[in-house]
Amino acid sequence: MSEKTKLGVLANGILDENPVLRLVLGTCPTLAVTTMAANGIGMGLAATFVLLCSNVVISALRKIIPGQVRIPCYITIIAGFVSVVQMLVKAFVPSLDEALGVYLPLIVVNCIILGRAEMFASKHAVLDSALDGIGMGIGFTLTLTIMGSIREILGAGTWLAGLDGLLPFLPEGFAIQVLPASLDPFTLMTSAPGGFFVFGVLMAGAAWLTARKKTAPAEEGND
Amino acid sequence: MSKWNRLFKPVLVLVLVCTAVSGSLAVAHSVTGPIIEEAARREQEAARLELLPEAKGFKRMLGYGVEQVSDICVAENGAGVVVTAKAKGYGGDMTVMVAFSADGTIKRIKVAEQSETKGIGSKVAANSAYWAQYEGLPARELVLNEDVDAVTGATKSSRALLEAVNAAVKGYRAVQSIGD
Repeated sequence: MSEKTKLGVLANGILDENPVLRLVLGTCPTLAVTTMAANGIGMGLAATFVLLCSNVVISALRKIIPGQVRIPCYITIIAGFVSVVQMLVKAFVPSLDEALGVYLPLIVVNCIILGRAEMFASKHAVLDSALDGIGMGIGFTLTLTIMGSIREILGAGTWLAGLDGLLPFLPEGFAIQVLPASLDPFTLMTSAPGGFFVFGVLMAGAAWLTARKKTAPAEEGND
Repeated sequence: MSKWNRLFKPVLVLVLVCTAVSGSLAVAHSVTGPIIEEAARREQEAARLELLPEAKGFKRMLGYGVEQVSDICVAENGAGVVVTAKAKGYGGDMTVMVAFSADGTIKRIKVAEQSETKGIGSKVAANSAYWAQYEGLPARELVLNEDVDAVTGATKSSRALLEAVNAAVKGYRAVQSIGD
């Protein structure tokens, strides 16, 4: 494996190894949460935080944890972080807890976090693992936000509704009306089948973008 | 050496990891636990006052044992009663607070806790405009689509809210019949 630059590690998770669209990890929360853009942002940020912490700790312990018990060790560490985060959020940022309430415990079983612990953090140094965690987190958050935006705009006609739960300075009931309210929204988009449609289209888009990036320099060489 | 690596080290490491994680959880809980409890208690008090602003202080009524009802609070100045009841919604338990006026009608309702699907069940569970339908209804068993309308696509959530309100009505009547 060629030595990657620090920036390369960070950028890796955004397109080339986008956790949802290229690695197809964490699909379940992705489909469940992206009914609205604001949900996607909240879930993405919470997962990013846990991903960063767990990657750092697991990378720091990678020489101590024996291979036979690595999975139980990883899960215990991840679950511990999620629980601590949940308690802290509940106690000190109750408004954020209300917005993320359902999704926080879901992070424990998010395959992205365990997947990155196994694929990356257990084999790389602490700094690289931290960058990988941030990059993967950004990729996850971006994907969820894009998916949530498409589904919300088509399915409900609004954009970023409920963002006031995440950013308390916004007025209550905040929402951007994209499609006129008189238009009947395409409610299928906010239910599960709509999630699969958008997921499929975005996956195809990501595959196309990656393929184009790879072939472009080769074509130049042939000329 | 190999036995140590193969058998005892994994066990020891796993035990240590679990102990460390449990320890940090215990620390986090001891720090945040009282704050969370205090916040929940204050929130309940504020919610009760929001539903029944005329009330001055509440007295908790205990030992009625009405199913699904977790809390009955009677206003000390006779302004009314606030009953907290639970029902199973689409995404788990839905906790509803119902305020009854002194004249025996529903004054206001409020869903205190819910985990219904955002964008669908939330039209029932997190929508005060929908709750307004219940205002002024008499304290008797209510029927869906007669007394109140269900939200299209969120029938299960609508039914859960109705079930919780009906349980609260039972709790209210239990307190009234003993008071009379």
